[in-house]
Amino acid sequence: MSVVQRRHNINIVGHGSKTILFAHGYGCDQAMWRFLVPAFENDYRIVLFDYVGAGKSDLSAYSRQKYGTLSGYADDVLEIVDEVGAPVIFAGHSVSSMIGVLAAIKRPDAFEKLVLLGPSPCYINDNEYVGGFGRSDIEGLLKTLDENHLGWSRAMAPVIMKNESRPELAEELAESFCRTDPEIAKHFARVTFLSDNRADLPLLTTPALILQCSDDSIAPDSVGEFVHRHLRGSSFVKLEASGHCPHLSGPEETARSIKEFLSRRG
Amino acid sequence: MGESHGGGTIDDSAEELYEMAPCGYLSSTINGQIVKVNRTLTEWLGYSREELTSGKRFADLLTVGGRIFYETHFSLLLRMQNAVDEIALDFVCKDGRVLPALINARQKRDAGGQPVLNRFTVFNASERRLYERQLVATRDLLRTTLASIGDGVVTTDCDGLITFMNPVAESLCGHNNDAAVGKHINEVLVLAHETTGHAVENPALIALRDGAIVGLANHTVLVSSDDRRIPIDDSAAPIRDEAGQVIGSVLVFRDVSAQRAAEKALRDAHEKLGARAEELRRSNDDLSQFAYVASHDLRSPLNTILQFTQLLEQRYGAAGEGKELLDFVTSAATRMRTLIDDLLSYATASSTPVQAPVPIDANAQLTKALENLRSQIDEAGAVVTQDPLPSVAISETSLGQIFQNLIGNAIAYRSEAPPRIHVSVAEQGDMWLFSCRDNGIGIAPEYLTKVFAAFRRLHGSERPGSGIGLAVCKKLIERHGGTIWVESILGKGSTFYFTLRNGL
Repeated sequence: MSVVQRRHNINIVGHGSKTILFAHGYGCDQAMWRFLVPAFENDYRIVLFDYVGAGKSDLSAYSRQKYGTLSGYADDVLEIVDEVGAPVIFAGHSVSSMIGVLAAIKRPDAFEKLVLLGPSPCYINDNEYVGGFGRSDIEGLLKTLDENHLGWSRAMAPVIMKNESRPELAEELAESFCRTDPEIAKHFARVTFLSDNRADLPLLTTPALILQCSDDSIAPDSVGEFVHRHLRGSSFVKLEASGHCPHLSGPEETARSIKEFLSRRG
Repeated sequence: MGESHGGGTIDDSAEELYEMAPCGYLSSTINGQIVKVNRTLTEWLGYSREELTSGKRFADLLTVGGRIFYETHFSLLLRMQNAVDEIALDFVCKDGRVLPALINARQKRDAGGQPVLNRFTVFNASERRLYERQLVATRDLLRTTLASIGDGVVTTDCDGLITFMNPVAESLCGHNNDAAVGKHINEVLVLAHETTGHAVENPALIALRDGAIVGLANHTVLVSSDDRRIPIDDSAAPIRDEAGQVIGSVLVFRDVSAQRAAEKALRDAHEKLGARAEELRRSNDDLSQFAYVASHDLRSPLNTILQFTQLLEQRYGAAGEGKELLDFVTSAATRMRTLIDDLLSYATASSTPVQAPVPIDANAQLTKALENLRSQIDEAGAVVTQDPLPSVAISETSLGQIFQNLIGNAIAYRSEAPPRIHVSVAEQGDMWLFSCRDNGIGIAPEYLTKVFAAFRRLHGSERPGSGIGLAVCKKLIERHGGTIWVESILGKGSTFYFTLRNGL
């Protein structure tokens, strides 16, 4: 297993001449693609991975400096693309859609197409621009994260790993796919929700599809439309699926829209 | 069934239980739209049932931060795992109040496994959240404190497995907390004896075993992961639960490299000083020996000169120029003999070993000294007075000589007025403080210490003496464990002080 594979817990499924790289968003790990993957398995080679800090990634590779900006995450995406073979179709959820945009600006040759699920280039309101949140709201999120460690316990984890008489205990914890080191979760939350990548949008040359959910309180319609306006030649589809995770709330509809976009030439 | 009184069963309908339960119930569609809510929750939130079920979503009831958490964590967990338990979120009531709550949720699925409904149970957690925040604040304070102090702190459970290491402990051991937690303390904190290098039992384990505080241990070095040997002072204490049962231990230690280095430097300096003192003493002894031998050997040829000068005088008459020349020879030779005698007594003073002296009466020695000085006293018209003197621990000849030298000195350095000399004494702990006060010419401040140096004469040959008397006093007194010094006002007189052990 290569360094990059181990660092990102890379899993490859499905068969096809083209590769889709599914990049999870803030809060969870690659397991979130569970309901969407079957729709592509027979036609595409599918690469799943965890960002450093999430899921079963190598936590020791976490660096507050490198991951202090989304650009650090984009560099990891490029390393993963090189590992699995460029070019790829990149599908990113939430903050990952912006990470994909940054990576494709750095290396246009590495990406064939981008699928952006619920993208937002800036979550914070700024004069005319309505991102949906104020800075104090992000502080509120950090407080909520502090009060919900979702089964993560620094002190407990190694003890549980050792508890060979009750292996189901460790499995149970591993199943909780939102489980993240609380400090990393908070840092990622800050980096995600305080980033502003509006100025990067016009630099993208890769064809992109924007999937906008109904009633998305994280990335509302106006934000999706802003992204569409500033990404030259981008496609925009408003889904019936509601909430912030169309791949969970409406996997069939989401898969249909993506397939339609991928079948287009260029 | 109705209610039955008098000790029978009391029925509670499912309907009423749902509505009036001591917790909130809420059901929503998969998309989060509220479809059903119980009365308890409507009362807590201040919304009517209609307001809640006409299009509001569950997430709309939360604070904004909570809503983000719901969309990025909660709803995903519910979809992936069917169940989410004990999530702390804050509701915003209709009047703006915030209701801290603890939420459990279940997702109902149809026969085909498709989700159809989300069910939430809401517990009022106002008190508990307050308590948790206090707990977190306390934990943070403890963490900050342990991170800030300069000592290494390690805690273990009752099996000696590490439960916590502070940053100082991390850097001294070379292991970080995350890697060390769960390991046995002997794997992480390797202790050895400073000089033998043998393994030392960890005080934390002793504290666990004995259930008692283990004090500071010296001569322990900590062998770090990169094989540095750091001298440490360590101590450990058992941690007990409320019932007094030992549930772990805490080890506190500090790097004493700097302290050890300072101690060593001090020891080295002390040793060097000792060697120097020994060297000095030996060379002093050699010098005294030389002075003794030299003066002794010089005496006999000098005596021969004096005898033959007298013989010359007797034989060839004593008149005219010859007589004058012979007188010069005699006077010079006599002065030289005095010098040699004094030198001899100085050399003897430093080379005679101090035997444990029998306390002697100082009065008798003063009297003897005054007898020896009779002619000088008479010639100068001096008056010597004294306090009653005690018995002291010094040899007879030594004390006699001290008195004789001090009083002789007072007469030699007298002023125009007739000398008035007074010897007194005062008790000072286990010492006697003697003083010898005169009304002589006094000593200028810059010479107060120099007068005790051998052959140091402040007035050249205009005053009698060899310049060795005070040096002899100093030597005799110091050899008996005392000290001598002088206080003086130029033109008014001097007081010589010296101390001697009281001999009891």
